[in-house]
Amino acid sequence: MIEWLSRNRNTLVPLGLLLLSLIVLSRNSMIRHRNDISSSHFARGITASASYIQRGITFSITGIRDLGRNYIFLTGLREENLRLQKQIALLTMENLGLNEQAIENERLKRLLEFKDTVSYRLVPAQVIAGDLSATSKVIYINKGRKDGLKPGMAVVTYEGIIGQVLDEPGRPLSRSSAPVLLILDRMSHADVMIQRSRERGVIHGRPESQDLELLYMESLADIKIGDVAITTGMGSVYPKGLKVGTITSVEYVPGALSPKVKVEPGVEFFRLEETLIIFPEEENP
Amino acid sequence: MSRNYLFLVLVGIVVLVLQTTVWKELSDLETLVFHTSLLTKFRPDLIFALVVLIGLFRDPIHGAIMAFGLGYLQDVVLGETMGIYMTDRMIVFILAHSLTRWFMATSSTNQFVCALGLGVVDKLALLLLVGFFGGGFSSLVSGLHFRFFEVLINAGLVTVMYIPLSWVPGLFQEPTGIERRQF
Repeated sequence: MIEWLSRNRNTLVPLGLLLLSLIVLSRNSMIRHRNDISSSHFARGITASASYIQRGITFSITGIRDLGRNYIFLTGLREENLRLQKQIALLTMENLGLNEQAIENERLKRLLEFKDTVSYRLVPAQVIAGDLSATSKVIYINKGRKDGLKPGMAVVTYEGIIGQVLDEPGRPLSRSSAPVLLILDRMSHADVMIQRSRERGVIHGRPESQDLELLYMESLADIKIGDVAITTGMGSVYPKGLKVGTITSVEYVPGALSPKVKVEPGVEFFRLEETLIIFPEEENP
Repeated sequence: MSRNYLFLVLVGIVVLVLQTTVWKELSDLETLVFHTSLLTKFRPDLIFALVVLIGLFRDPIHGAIMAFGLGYLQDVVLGETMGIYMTDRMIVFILAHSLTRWFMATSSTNQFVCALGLGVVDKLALLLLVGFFGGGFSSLVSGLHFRFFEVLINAGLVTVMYIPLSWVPGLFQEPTGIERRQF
């Protein structure tokens, strides 16, 4: 028997191991729930060893892959970044333009509303240039003789009066543009009254201080800070009822015939962009 | 001899780890770069290639023990029903060893053809074993066309793995002619 086994061991050993594996397989397949099986220490040792190696390999491969990914795809990201930056710059410019249009729209709406409230004819014009030096306060608008403008016509805005159209040597009234002498200029004056108390006086420009002076008031005139000065319609330049400015100071000087009254103009001249020209009823542009 | 056993156990663990890590990373890379998931559909079997080589170049007793051990390792690491890969590897080993009496195992072409045939047997054996003892036939029947590619890949792996392993002194015993090796 032993001799037979020894003689045929080349065949018996492989077949024996095959049989053993089938027995093991049959036994394990009969167990229904996996958690009923407890692994041997050897099996646990094998899986533990394998898991350490698996972790090491996975960590290395992940590191290499992330390095490659960060490098390779970073070039694509850089181009994408540049493209997006350009797009942002374009959109910012577009946004600025849209904001500007919105502000202009609001301004024009107010001009239109003002135009609808008055009985005389108003023609809009844009400010194209300005000479707001200390000695001279003149702006230029984009309407001229061809539009029917004549010297002396009043130029206003919904905030108040601006000035009148000029025509003089050095500042001629041309076909397509016109100089406008602002009420801030020392040569400007207008007949006004206090809206509240109906006290009358004459407004005079003070270019050095960017405001106006109210002259020829009675010594006991009822004037307060905050009162609004409006045009009287006298002098055939400015129609009645247009805002000139707001009283900012009243100083009574002993012995003087009139109080010293300062008026802040209703119009912000340094931010002026659109104006309205008053056409008398008989004039057609 | 114990050195050879130890070497094969280590090689077995290494190839099993490589199968479960590197292949997975390659699959992820394929998905990332090519947006396809072909590699996830099949899995090369390095242990199969090792067992075929043991069957072709080892003696029946030690070779059988080695194949049995590698099958056990595969069962432990892969978490299948214990005994499936043990049985399958024993079948592959016995058949591979039987074929050595009819052809020269050192030829790459012979190795490839032999591995192809054994690969088909391996897949059928796994199908039957899993079907009867494991989770049923459905999990293996689906994706049969990918099993065909696996057979081809595994056959190629046999010829590829033979080259470096043949340099290990004493591991593989090259048979002379087609005579049956005597132990």
